[in-house]
Amino acid sequence: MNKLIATGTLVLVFGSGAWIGYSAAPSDTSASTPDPAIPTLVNRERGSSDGRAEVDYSALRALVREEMNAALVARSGSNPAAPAPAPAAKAAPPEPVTPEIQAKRRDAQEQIDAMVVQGTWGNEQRFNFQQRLAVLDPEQKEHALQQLTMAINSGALQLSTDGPPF
Amino acid sequence: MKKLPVIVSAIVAFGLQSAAFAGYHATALVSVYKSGSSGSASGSVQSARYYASDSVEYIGCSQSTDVKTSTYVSCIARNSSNLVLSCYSSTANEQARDAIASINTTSFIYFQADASGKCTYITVGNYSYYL
Repeated sequence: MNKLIATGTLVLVFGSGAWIGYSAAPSDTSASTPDPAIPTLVNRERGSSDGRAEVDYSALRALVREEMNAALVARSGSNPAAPAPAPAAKAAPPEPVTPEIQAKRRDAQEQIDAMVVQGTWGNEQRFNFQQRLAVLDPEQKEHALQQLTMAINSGALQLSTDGPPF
Repeated sequence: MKKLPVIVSAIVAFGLQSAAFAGYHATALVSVYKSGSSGSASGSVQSARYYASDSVEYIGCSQSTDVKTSTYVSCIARNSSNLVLSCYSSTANEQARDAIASINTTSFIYFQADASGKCTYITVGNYSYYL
């Protein structure tokens, strides 16, 4: 008999405890408070039970549109709010090659040719070479450097410079 | 009796001298290898200048630019037998230009030149033991 009373008391205590825990409202209700900045998707129908609700389709469409835009932006790696990227800066156009410049280059190249075939390369030749090299266009410069280097390496040019030949 | 301070000073001076040049040391005199018009050369800047018994050899590299568009690098070496090898490149990449810019008194330089005089390989190593 005593066992029955004890068991019944235990069941009663556990049962009432479970009921109290289930029915008690959460102490922090801020999570359920709607944020005015977020569009309300589901409007509770007044006068109806908690289970019935009406979907706000316009808000839903706006939200889907917003999410789609965000996804597209993330995929393309660009921000639609940002201004369109400026076109790549164009390289400065090359200076026009006037007949005077052409003649100057031609003279410089001829003088380099003459210096290299002389067979000796001293400080004076090095100085003149540097001066004329600065006048040449990239292609002519390449040719002049190649000409001098090959002449040095083949032994066709005797070096007498104080230090490097170019 | 007056000789004693002189001897002591000399011993102290020698002792300090050895302390100033402690650590491993290596000498790399300039060597030039040529095969036709191409070849390779190597050597350390310090060895060529201070440890060579001749007054002939040297090694080095330089960069030149017209400041606007064109830049070229060149290297040249001459060994004790007066054998010279040079190379140039007007298309040197940034790494090559940086390597050449880093050349100093501790530098060991190695370069290769092809038959057209173009640099095909440049090495610059900076080590304490070349000082």
